[in-house]
Parts: sequence; structure tokens; C-alpha cells
Amino acid sequence: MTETLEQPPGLQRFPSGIAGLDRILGGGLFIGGNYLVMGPPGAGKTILGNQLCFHHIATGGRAIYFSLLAETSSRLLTALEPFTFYTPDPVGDALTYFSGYGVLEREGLEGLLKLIRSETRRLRATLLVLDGTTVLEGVSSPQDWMHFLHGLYVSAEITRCTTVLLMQTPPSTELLREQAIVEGLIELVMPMYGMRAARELQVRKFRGSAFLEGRHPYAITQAGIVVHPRTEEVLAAAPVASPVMVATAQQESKKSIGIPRLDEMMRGGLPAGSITLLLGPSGTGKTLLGSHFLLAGSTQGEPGLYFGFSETASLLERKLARFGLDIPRARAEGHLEILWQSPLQPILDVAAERLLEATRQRRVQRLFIDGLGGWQHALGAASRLDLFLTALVSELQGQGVTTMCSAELPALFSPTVELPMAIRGIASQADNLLFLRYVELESQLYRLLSILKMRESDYDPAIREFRITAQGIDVAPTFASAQAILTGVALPSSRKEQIQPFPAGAEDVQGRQP
Amino acid sequence: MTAILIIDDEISIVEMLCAFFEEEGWQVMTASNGQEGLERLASVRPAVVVSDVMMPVLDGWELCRRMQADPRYQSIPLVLMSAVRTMPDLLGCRYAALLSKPFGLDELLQTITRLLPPNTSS
Repeated sequence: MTETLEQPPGLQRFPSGIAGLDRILGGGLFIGGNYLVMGPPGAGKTILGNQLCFHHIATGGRAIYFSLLAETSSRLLTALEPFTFYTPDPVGDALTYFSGYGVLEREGLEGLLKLIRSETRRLRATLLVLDGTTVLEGVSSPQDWMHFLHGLYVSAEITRCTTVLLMQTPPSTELLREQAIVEGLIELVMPMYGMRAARELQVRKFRGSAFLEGRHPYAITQAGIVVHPRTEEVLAAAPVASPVMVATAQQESKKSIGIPRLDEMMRGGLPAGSITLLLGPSGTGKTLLGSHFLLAGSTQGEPGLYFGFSETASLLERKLARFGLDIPRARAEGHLEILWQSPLQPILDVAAERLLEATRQRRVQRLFIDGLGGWQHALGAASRLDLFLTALVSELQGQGVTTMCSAELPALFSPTVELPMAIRGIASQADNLLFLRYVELESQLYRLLSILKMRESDYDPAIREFRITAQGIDVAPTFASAQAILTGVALPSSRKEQIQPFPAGAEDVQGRQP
Repeated sequence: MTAILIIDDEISIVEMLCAFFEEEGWQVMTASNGQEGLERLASVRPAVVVSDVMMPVLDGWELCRRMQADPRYQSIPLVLMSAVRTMPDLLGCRYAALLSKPFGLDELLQTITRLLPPNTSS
């Protein structure tokens, strides 16, 4: 964020109609302001300009779209028809399309400026979009060009007609002359991430207001331009509450995980409002453990949310039914929602918006994010995932949601925890760390569980063996079996017989009985 | 030689129509908006006027009204070309034809031919 500025009393805003852009701008464009939108061909400048116009007239304004492009207005309108913001009714009335190229050719910039001024007055326009401005700079001297811009902006201010210039990004990276005199500069860029192209919007300048800085992803959809302000920037600008205060208020309360011996190890469960990171290689039972946690809340009537990238709701239900977890019932009772998020979603913030919308709407108390790795395929994730996740869990802490996140560790049999780079930030931020792992002994696989960290709570640091049974996860009552497994040393038969960690019938349905 | 007045603010359309009608043997006059078009009509008398609707200064609807209101121009057929999908209430404006953009040149020529008196030829 730029430093907070008080809005001058004379400046009034109007929403652009693009919710994400309005959020970035702090409420929309200023009436009578002058703005420059720059971008390469195909970035969506014309769509954005038209979207502004259609939204503006839908809210009672009057708009003129002056085009200097070769494309005719009929061709342009035909291309706009598929967009949901388009409606034919106001075209020719509240919204008028003109071509300025002929006037420019005959009378130069002075003639064009005169025409724009007179038409703005005649049609009582409150929004003027000038498309193809690059043409103007090419056919005029720098002095004429600046004179034209000055004239346009003075006219905009006096008539209170907001002016938006659409311009192709010049090849030079040097600051343009026009950048210095416009009140707002919005740049559209299309960077490549490997073989994938992204669309990003950056407000470089916005006089009279604070704005969300940096690049923000956007997409061109049937609804037009949809901007997704960067989650970390949005949340940093408006955190819901101090996480520390929330934790303090809730620290007395514990949330049962629904696995009795694990609850015992945690002295009653997870502290309410805390963040738990569940680490382990593939297949160790992370999804199952997280689902235990959600169902334990369901029995208390606490709204829960499963947010995962691998299984859809039906797949998850079938998978967990094998272990005695009745997901359909919890869903039918309205206590549990399952949100599947495609790991192929290119925009991190789209998934974050879905997640946060769901937690706010249902006042979720328990959340299980299954597979933090699901975020890593998004565009730009390599450079921002750490901060993104940090901001996300801070927000959840602020909302008082007791959150469990699973993260897959690459090494199947490693006794050490090597965190993927992208989750190191969230690991240090997490209140609780649980570690699940495999151990191989005498051609058998065993599963072990340990609590690495519990902030604000006492806990049992012992390593326990656990099994995945037809009734879900069963944790050994003592650390004895884990000790035997970890030492890998043959115990005297008499001693071995003393170790009876699991009651009879606790068969590991995902592995052989040791 | 039959004369035609083409009125449009989009220079590419004017140029294209000029080339087309000149090839067809017409005498072509042009204007970039309705006001300019009326000024041309004061000094020339085309057999037909082909005009865009959305134009600066004076649009096609207003041109139509003024031509209908002026006895000198009432008998000149007017073809309005429009990208506008909805038509405003034109009150007594009896334009000769309305063509929705985009349209084909053959369609335009057929429309004009239909409006002209039978013995008119290019």
C-alpha cells in the first residue's frame, strides 16, 4: 500500500464496474479524472474500455467511445455481443460510438480535440473513452501531443467528464511524457511463466488515493475483464482482526481431532483458532486425519470446510467411507462443505477468494486445506506462494477458524522433515506441527506420528505408531511400539510380547499386519 | 451520371463505399457527419443519400428528421446504415431504408436500386 491519503473533499468516485479494479483503486475512478490504460495488443484494453462504458451508462451515466482504430464500430459491437456486460439498447443513445480517424486525418489533433469537446458537451457525456491513442502520438509532434492531452484533461475537469485513454504500450521502457500528466495510469501486461502466458494489471499511478500496489492477475471472461487483487496485498491492507487477540480470546478452548489418543497427546485437542500444519509423505493418512478433525466438529454442530485439490466430493466420500468416516451424513446435516479446487487454476487468488468466501459465508469454525502443494501450479506461484499462504493463514487466524493444512513431503522414508521451499513461511507461522511418516522394518511398513510443535499448549512429544483401520486412524496407546520400530533392534521375545500397543482387531487396512 | 452522397464518420467505410460506387459508374460525394451532409445537400442534389446513424455533430436520425422537414429534401431517398440494434422513436421520420451493419455491398446496391425511380441508371 502507498501511504494512506485523505481523499480531497472535492473528489467523488464512481465504480468502474470491475470489482477487483475498484478494490485496487480503493473505490473506483474519480469523476472528471483522466486516466491512461496501457497494454500490448491482445491485453484487453478495448474490452476494458467498453466494459467501463456499459457499466457507466447502466448506472445512469452517458458515455462516448471515440475510436481511432481501423476497426469499424459495427465490427466492434459485433465482437462485444458475447460479453454479458453488453446490451444493445443504449447504443446510439446513452452510449455513442464515433470514429475520430477521419477528423484526425483532415484536421489534425486540434480538429479532433475540438470535436471531442463539442460532442462531450452536446451529448452531456460523463465518460469518454478514446481508443487507439497510439495513433495520435505517431502523427503529431511532441508539443502538439502534449497540447492535445492538456486540452483533453482540462475539458474533462471542467465538464466533469471522466476521460480514459487506451494506448498500446510503447516499446521503450522509458517514462512516457503522458505518464507525467495523467492522474492515473493502469498498465496491462502479459508475462510468460514458462510456456504459459499470464495477464496482470498494475496501477502505476493514481492521484488522490491510496491503491493496492504491484501486479494483480486478471482474466478475460464472458463477463469481461475480471481482476483478482493479489490476496496478500488485499489482506495486508484490511486484516480482519489481530491474530494474537483472537488466539488470546480462544486459547482456553480446545478442538478435538476425533482420534482419542491423539487428543490425549494434545491435552484435549488443537487450540481453537490455531493453525496446524500436517506434514507427511504421500499415503501416510493426512487426508484421513484431517477428515477426522472435520467430522469431530460436525458432531458438535461446528461448521466445517474441506478444501482440497485432489478429490471431488463424491470421490472423497467413497474413499473415506472405507475407513468408517461418514462424510455424506455430515454434509446432509449441513455441518460440512466440501470444496474441490482444480490444481490447474492458473490464478492463485481465484482459489483464495473461493476459500475465504466460503469460510465467511458459513462462519466456518474448522477448516482442512488438503494439500498446500495444490497451489504451486498457479502462475507466478514460485515467487509469491510463501507470502500468499502466510497472508491466507493470517486471515484465517483473524477469523478465528481452527485450520489444519496438509503438505506432502517428497521423501517417503526420511526420518527428517525437509520442507518444500514454498511452505517454509507457513511452517514457521503454524501454531502446531504434526509429522506423519513411514518406517520400514523387516520388510514391513509402519506409520508413525509425532507432534513437533504446539504453541500455547502442553503436548506429548513421544513418537507413536498409528494404523489406518476400518474405523479410521487408531493411534497406539503408548510410544513402546514406535520405540521398537525406530530402534530396529530385535527385542527379547519376552519384552516384545509385553508391547501390545493395539487392541485385537485393529488391523491396518492400508498395510499388512505387522 | 447518377449522384450519391455518402455520410459516415468512419473514413474507412467512406473510402470503401466511394471506390465501390465509382466503379459502378456513380458520381460520389462525401461528408463526415449529418451537418456536413446537409451543407452538401444545399449545393448538390444526389439521387440518394447513404448515411451512418452514429456520427458526431449531427447523427443519422436527426439528419433524417431534417430532410423530412425540408421540402427540398423530402423526395430524396435516404438509406441509413446502423450498428445500432434498437431503433429510437423516429416520430414522423419516413426514411427509405435501414440497413443493419454489417451488410454486403450487393445488399446495399439492391436497396438503393429498389428506391430509385425505374428509369434511373448509374
